[in-house]
Amino acid sequence: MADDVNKEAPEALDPPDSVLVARAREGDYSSYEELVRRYQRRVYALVYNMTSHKEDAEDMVQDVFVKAYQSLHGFKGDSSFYTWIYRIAVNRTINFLKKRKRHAYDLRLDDMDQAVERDEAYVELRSRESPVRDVTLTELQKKLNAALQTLSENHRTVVVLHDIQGLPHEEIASIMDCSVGTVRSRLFYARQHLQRELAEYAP
Amino acid sequence: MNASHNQKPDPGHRDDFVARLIALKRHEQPDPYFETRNLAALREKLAHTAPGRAWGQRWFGWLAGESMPAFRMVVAACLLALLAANLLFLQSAPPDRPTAAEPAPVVAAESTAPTSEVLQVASTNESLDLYRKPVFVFEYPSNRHPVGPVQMGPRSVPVRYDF
Repeated sequence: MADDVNKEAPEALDPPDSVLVARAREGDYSSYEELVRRYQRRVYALVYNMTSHKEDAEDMVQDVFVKAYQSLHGFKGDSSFYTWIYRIAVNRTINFLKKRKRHAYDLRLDDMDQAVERDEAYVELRSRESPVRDVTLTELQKKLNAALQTLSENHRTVVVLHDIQGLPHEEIASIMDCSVGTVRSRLFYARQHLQRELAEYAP
Repeated sequence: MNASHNQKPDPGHRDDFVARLIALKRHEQPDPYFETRNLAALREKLAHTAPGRAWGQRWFGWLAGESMPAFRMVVAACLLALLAANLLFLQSAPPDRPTAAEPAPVVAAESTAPTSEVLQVASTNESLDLYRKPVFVFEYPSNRHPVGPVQMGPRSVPVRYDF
């Protein structure tokens, strides 16, 4: 009996997405807010890494969650809520980026946390016998974001989802509505392009 | 590009390093109040929005009084005006078919076995459209005299079978 209570307790406290979606559809806004709480950071990271603009990313995240709320009836549950919200975010961000191409814009970057200084790649970079060891964190951050912005929207999406957010190829294919082969191919060409853009930092 | 790849001893390592370098962006963090701010902004935006419903439900809700009365009146007036205009147009349009008063000239066509008299009348009756050439006739040019490469492609070569 006690075991049953213990098993049920976490689910009651932390219901799965499908339960929250069902409740939100019935008008329970607090359930939807819980979903937002769960995914807003990840959606923000996705949009921010694609736009390299924190204010635009914040507006876009709100837009994505508003759109998702209005389209809850369209969520059939074939994929996870996470995949579905990511799909909305990717599509809306790509549309936004296509419009933004026509206007000049500056990079508006978030701050990096302290843990970056212990990151393997950064430590390796700093230990080189070359001028890149003297690069400041801010310069490196600008360079990385600028290089990412030179990719096409689709290539950038794949790089962001795979190399930054760590999603598997299959999930990226599902989000981008394309084949796994296309994802691999885009990743390959995107990395080749980035190698050229970041040649000065390559070993 | 391939040449430059071959010059480097370990392209896989470079590829991996670029991926790890890009992954440094994971350390970029939004400001600490982002989540609270986002939730508050969403709450404000969605305060007057119902969760997503099917379009049928939305229309039903709209008709049942979710929209502003003045707006409903305007839409209803527009629909009525369209309906009235459509009726007026139908009434004022000239009849394009023979009315019941005048005999239909295609009576001959209805009989299963037309007599020679009927056919003669039909062929001399100018009001009949049966033998009139249609306005647009699509005639393909002959294959022997191609008009040009666009329509017909390359000139055809006659094939001889006598050898």
